[in-house]
Amino acid sequence: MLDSLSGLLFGFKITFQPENLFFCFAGCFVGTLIGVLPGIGPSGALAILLPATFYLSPSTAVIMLAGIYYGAMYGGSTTSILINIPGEAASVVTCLDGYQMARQGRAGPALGIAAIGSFIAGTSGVIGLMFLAPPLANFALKFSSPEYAAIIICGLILVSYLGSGSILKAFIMGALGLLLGTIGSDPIDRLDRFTFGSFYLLEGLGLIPIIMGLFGISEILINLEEEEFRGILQEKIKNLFPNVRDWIASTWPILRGTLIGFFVGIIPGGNTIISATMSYAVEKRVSKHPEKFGTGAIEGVAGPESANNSSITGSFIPLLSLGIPTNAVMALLLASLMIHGVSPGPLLISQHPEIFWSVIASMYIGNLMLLALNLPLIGLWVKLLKVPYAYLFPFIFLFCLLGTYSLRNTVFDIGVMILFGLVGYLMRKFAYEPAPFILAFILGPMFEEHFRRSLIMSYGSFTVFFVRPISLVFMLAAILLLLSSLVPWMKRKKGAFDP
Amino acid sequence: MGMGPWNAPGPGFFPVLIGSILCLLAVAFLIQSTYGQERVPKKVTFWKEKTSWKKVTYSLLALIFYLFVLNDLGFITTTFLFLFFVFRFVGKKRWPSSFLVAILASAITFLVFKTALEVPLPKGIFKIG
Repeated sequence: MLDSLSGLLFGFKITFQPENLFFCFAGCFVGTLIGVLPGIGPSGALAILLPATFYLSPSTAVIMLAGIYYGAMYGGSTTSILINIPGEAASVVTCLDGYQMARQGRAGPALGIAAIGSFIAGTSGVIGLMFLAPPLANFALKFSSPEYAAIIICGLILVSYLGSGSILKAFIMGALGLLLGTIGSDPIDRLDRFTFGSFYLLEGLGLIPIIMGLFGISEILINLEEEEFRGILQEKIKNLFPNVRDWIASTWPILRGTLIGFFVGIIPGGNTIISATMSYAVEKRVSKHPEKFGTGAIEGVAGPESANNSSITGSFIPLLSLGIPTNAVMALLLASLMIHGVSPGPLLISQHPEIFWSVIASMYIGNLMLLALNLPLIGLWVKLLKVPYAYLFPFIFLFCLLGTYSLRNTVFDIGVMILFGLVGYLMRKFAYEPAPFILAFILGPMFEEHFRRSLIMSYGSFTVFFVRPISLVFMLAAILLLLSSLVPWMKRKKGAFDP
Repeated sequence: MGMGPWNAPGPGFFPVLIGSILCLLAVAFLIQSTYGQERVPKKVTFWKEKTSWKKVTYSLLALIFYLFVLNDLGFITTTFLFLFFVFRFVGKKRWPSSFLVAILASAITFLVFKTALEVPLPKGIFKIG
């Protein structure tokens, strides 16, 4: 306990340096912007801005990128409530009751409770992260290759399992990701695979161009199909403060949402969308007036908005204590850390305490900044919504192009990005999930390394995964998940989280 | 590229393994599509609107254009052409405003990236930048 507090003080000392404060604010500001503007989400935006962080120190880079991520959760609720269009994916659920509240003239309290709930959840989540990550990292020091291999395979299966479409399609995406991850040097012998003699493929396909394509370009292409829409904003937003009844009604949803989001965020495949949806479902189920949901129940805003924030801090835990990313954004952060020469793993906290603690401290500060950005400054964002998409999207294209080019000064990466933009577009059309693909792509090499090493360690015996207790647990979990997905013979579509 | 023995798997091991799994999954998918219950009940429209394909295709063409021309024409020129094309033909804005915004944006981004972020940008045959 004392360790944590002294670490936190250390972190604050670093975060309060002007450079870090500035980039924390920049991240939060940009994040809110991304959240407010439909048409680009945190994954795509982070991919675009990642090259800009090259010249920053690793702590500063992560501080800013994290700020963008949780900032987007704050901003996303704004458009959901005001114009029934989610600013980013996790805010979809907020549309259900938030927009109804706005139509009843209660946009103010809805926005207010969304921001406040986000703040409470975000801050609580950071507390959880602060206390859970170090012991977990300590525990993980006992891990060796079999454990990592087992955890990763379990995680990959979970990601596919938790997707919202057909599980089979998710598995296919995962397999494709694994396959594409083999391009480049093999993790143990360092022999080239599938490089076709190309210099640019020696290190494999770049994660950043792929994500920019998959989440940035393809998102724009999908949006281009819609006709131009004009926001329908009614009266001025008065009275941001929820009244006493709203507070009482929202207390438990916020608390429950925080817990749900946090624990869903920790597990691989648990993302902000699932957290928010689960929170909504739970609130509806425990409510004494479930029929009010969908007509403007503030619980339907308070819970999900809290959940999506705490799930972000939850998802940092596997990254910071094990070095294993659990969603696309964490994968980007992993890439960012590696570019800065830091290899995440259980030793991160002990070898680079300045990174861990300054990021934690920055999250506290960031949540405060976001509370200020989203409550009094909400008018600013509302004005921004009036900018037509037709002016915005060319710039998003441009930033994608520039960002990709700046990685290695080659148009090859631009080509990769465009290709995956097209692929991503088609994937959305045909209902394939990008998440299993991305995670498999980045976890594949890790998995392969640990898997092969395990077999080397055990002289070719597969029992190594089942004899060691920790790895046995994860392997059993993986097998159970696989079996339960086969039970309805893959005809099942995941609709379990429909509210 | 050998697969290697079980106690020392080689570089070929993993790709072959994944490839096999993928084949199995593909077969399963085929079976599911043909015999499964979840046959698509209604007609699924590929494009949301009648004219959607134009915007998407034009955008893709513009992006590919950028990719091939960047090193030859240099950053500012290519960016200007790209933005102008996209504003005019995909965003459907008028000639003057497209032209103006494209020029301004190219110039500003060039300045920002060159001076503030110090990113090297291709110069191209017009030697701007």
